[in-house]
Amino acid sequence: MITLKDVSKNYNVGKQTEVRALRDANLEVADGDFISVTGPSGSGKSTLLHILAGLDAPTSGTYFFKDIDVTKASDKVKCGLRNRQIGIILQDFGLLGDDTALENVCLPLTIGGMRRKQALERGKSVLEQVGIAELAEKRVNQLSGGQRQRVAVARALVQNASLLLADEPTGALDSRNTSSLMDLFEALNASGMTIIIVTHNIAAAQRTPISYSIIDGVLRQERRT
Amino acid sequence: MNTLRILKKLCSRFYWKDLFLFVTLALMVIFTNIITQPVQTFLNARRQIRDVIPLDYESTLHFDPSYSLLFSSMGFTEERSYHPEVHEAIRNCDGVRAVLEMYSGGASCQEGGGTFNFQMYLYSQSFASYIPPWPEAGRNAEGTEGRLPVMVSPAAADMLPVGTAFDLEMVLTSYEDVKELSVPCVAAGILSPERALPRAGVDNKSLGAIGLAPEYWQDAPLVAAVYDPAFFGEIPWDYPAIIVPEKDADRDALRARLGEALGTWGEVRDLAQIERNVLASTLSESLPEQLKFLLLALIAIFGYGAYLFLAIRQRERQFAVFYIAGMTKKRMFTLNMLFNVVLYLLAAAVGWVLTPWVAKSFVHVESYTGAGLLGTLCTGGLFLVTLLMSLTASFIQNRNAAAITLYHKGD
Ligand SMILES: Nc1ncnc2c1ncn2[C@@H]1O[C@H](COP(=O)(O)OP(=O)(O)O)[C@@H](O)[C@H]1O
Ligand SMILES: [Mg+2]
Repeated sequence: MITLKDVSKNYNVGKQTEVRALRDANLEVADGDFISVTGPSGSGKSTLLHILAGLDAPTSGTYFFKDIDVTKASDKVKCGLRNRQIGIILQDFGLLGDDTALENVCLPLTIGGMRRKQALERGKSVLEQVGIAELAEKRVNQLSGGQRQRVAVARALVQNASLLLADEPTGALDSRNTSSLMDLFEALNASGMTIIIVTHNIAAAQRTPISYSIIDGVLRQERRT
Repeated sequence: MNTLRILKKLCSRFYWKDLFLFVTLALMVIFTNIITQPVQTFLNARRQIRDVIPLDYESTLHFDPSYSLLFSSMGFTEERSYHPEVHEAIRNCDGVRAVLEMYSGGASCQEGGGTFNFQMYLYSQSFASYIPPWPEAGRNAEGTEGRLPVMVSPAAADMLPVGTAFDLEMVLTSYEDVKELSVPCVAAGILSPERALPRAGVDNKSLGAIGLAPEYWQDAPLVAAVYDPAFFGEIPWDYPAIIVPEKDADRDALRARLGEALGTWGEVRDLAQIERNVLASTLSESLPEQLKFLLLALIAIFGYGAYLFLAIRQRERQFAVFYIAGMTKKRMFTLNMLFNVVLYLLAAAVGWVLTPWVAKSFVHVESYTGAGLLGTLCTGGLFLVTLLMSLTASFIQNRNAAAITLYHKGD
């Protein structure tokens, strides 16, 4: 599904403060993989994820998603990918605090052009799937960290994406919530979804069949079971 | 369709900042309307006059007698008051096709048991041939043969309703001897109060040298007629006059010839020049007042632009979330455009309604109306330029800021 070849990302190119956040990363992801990427703070985990999501362009290297050359794709194509094929859960959830959980979940559907009524139905069923159906009409600002995390997951799932990218999904959660979120990911993976999570939580990383490490921008496979 | 739905969502939630944007836009519309009003009034009058007298305004000339001639014609000197040689000089000049003359002066009649005074506009036949027929002319009512059909203004129609037969008393002063006339007339129709009135006059400040826009004669009791020797006998025409050159005559050469022939009798100008002078004097007269409003309009539009820029920068999180969920930057830009255009249309509607009130209360000009075409174009243009500038600027800023604040948040 994903082929990253010699992908590097430098920030502040040509300046004194130039950072090499990712160095010649190579990554092959097959359909149905469940991968974790661990590494210390500032090692380049988010950078990798943003490149995979088409939010950031690599400085060099190539990135194929299915047969799309994402490095050369237009904004429209990349937005289309994020809207339909790649669900993203960002480090701070990336939700709109003044909107209800349901509105947040339906956003990709609205942007994608689905009818309002249909979108609301679909949004509700996904909220049910992640176990927070009763919070649909609550404003995100009024929700706890664990609940927000589930709203973010629901939004990533709402379009039946084939790939789920999650940046520190357990970062704001206690161990009980962490474990139940990992249960949810495992269930999703079992139903065929490809998942890549980026985390510095070792316990969470140990639950994925494939794990990578990233240190100072260097990506390396650690384990494959 | 979904763009509209998201737009509706943006519009349905009330933010103070949107109110601020709305108010600045409405103020901008009002101030710009007021600024453009003098020019708009001029343009309206010009169009109305041109609609009524279909002359070639590029080539037509206007003869204005000099003041000494004018005074003498009013009988202030020993000199003869009528100067046939002036007309002869104009008529005999090479390249002159027609001279359009008119007489305007006081007249009266005995109606309703008293004397009714009004202004009389009498057009020479050559002038009349350039005026399109009065649209309302039902010229000869029954039982009024043998009377001169005249058109009456709405203000005179109370006293002289259509069909009234009356004797018009007037004194022609431009004769060698003052000549009193009594002309049997019939009110044949009412002049449309929406139309300009053709004229050849002395007037440097309004367009009265060519015609009178409705607001200048609307309320005046006046009657207009076409000269007919059967009623007036041979009359020498008064000045000023409009000079129509031959089709392919060289205007500047003709003007030079006329200037030479007329010498100190008066001045020959082209109509475009008259219009320019009128515009210039309109502008310079209203300048001090208009400058204030120009300043206010600039403040309003600058406030709008700067605030829009900030408002979008503040919403960077929202845009970042939209972007993650798959909305293209182009669509976000369009959405913001649409939102602001909707806001502008509402503000413009409010501004148009309020402009006359603001003009009356703060500028003390009663005749200021809502926006004309000019005001609309100016405000629309100003708005679009500002909108595009601040949107582009804020989006360029936003792209980097949103990426940093949202995607790269945390460790
Ligand atoms: N927009 C940016 N501009 C400059 N440097 C950045 C930017 N984003 C990340 N970096 C730098 O790149 C490196 C990797 O960052 P990141 O991928 O966010 O790390 P992680 O998510 O593993 O904590 C860090 O040194 C960080 O400071
Ligand atoms: Mg990170």
